[in-house]
Amino acid sequence: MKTIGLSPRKKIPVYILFIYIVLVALVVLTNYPFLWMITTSLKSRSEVFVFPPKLLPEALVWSNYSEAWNMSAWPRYFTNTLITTIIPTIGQMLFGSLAAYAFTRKFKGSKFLFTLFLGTMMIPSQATLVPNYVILRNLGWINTFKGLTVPFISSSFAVFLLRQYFLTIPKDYEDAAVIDGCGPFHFLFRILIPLSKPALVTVALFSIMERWNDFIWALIMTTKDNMRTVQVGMAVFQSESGTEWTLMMAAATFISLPVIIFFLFVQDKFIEGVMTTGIKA
Amino acid sequence: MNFRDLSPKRKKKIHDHLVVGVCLAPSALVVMVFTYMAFIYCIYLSFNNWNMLSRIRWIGLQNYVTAFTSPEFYNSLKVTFQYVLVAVPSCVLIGLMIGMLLNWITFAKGFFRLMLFLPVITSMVVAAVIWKWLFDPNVGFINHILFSLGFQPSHWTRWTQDPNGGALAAVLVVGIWKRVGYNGVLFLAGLKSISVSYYEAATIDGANAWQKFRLITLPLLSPTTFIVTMLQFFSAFKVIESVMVMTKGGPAKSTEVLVLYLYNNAFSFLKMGYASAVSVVLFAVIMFFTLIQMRLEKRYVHYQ
Repeated sequence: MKTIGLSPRKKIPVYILFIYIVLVALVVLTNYPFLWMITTSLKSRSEVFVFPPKLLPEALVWSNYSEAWNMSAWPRYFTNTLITTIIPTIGQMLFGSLAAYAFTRKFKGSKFLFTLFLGTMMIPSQATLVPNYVILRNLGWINTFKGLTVPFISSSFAVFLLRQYFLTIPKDYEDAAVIDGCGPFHFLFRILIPLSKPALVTVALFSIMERWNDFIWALIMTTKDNMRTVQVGMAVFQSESGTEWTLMMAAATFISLPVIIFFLFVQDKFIEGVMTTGIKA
Repeated sequence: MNFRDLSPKRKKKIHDHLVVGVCLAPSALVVMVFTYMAFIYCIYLSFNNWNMLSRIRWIGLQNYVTAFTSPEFYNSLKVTFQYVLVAVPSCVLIGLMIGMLLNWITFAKGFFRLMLFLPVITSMVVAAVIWKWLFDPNVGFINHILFSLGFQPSHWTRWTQDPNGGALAAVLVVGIWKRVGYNGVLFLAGLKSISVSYYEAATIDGANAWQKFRLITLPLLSPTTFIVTMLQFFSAFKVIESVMVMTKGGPAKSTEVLVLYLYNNAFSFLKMGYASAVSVVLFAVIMFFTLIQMRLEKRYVHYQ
């Protein structure tokens, strides 16, 4: 194979260099919109309407951020989003573990019930949007945290994933624990759950990303401004501010920044989760 | 009879059932109510006329008749299929390319994987707002690049304001941009699972790179390709958020995809019965394609 010599001992094949060039190009292409978002958020209003556009602003207009921040009730939106993210995430870990534990045991109708759980993945949430809205409206849950969280406090995905993981833990553990006088819940919470951290982390991360980024459900569940989440807030901000691109980009930046920072910390676990499950989209 | 009087074996059985019941109750309730009950309710609503203010009125199959004779409904199906037909192959192929590129390298692999994954974790609302700005027909960055490359302004470069394909193209770009990193990571996982020994054996037999790809990678990767294609299909079929933010289905309904049509009927026109009928059709179409894909899986997917 043709190589270019760096040192006699270490030779890099040409095709590897080519691959890196393609990858760098892809990364630039993929992330250019983010760069554009950030630089636009720091431009002055008139600069935005100059054609051809320049990437970098002439002077950094930090006031775009405070202006965008003050135009909507962002602190409230962030609080709402945090609540609608945390409650379902805890719920999915807790109730998911409980149900998964039940499904590791054999009981009458367990196969049928488990199939029913799996079957929910075949029914797209978009197809149940209308009836679910009507159900929650009849319950009077519009504009409440109940409406925003309860439908997501468990998911068949979490149950499925945790059950698969629980099954990899030898049955002997439970037998030994029972002989030592350990009850089922004690076993679940003291032994099974601590042993299943990787699966629980995957469930939690998927739930966090999904809830934080959710738009449609939060949109139909909320009519009052003080119940909006950041995604709904952003969409409304966008449709109300016309061509105020600098302010929109400032808002887009402060909305996506927390997610990106959070993601940087958990990316290994999250991507590994995607790679091993491949189910969630 | 008192619980205390039962035999120990029977007591244990009751106890076991109680444990199972308590464990399952919350999840089962949520799953049953918000999926199955909702879906059955949806079917019921689809036979009724209801605008949430009036009384529910049974009208039989009228909603379905209305849907299948409505040009707008067919338009939404057409737009959805156009979207799917472009999005699925491009997302799968670009994803495969990303997966293979990442699989070849060792240095800075994590960095590239991370950078290509960033659009996946960005919310669709934010993504759509950024791209709407990039696609701005007058001062947007995309047109700046196109014009400086020598492209002439045409209806396409009106992007989100062009009913003849430009708007749909803009929405498609966002969908593809946001999805390829995810597919790439799935393909990377699939490629990793192929044993190196196949390639070593092929090298000894004198196979070239293309032969290795054609005769080893593609067949052994087929389970991954199948999963990715299926997930991609469903995700593309259910597209709504990017359209809502970028074009609101316009101009002239040229981007009104099926789920948006459903949404508008339910939440703008309050035709809950009709929207339910459309939901049932959405479900039926998805089921139909699931069955087709399962058939295809049996024929074309090779498991190691």
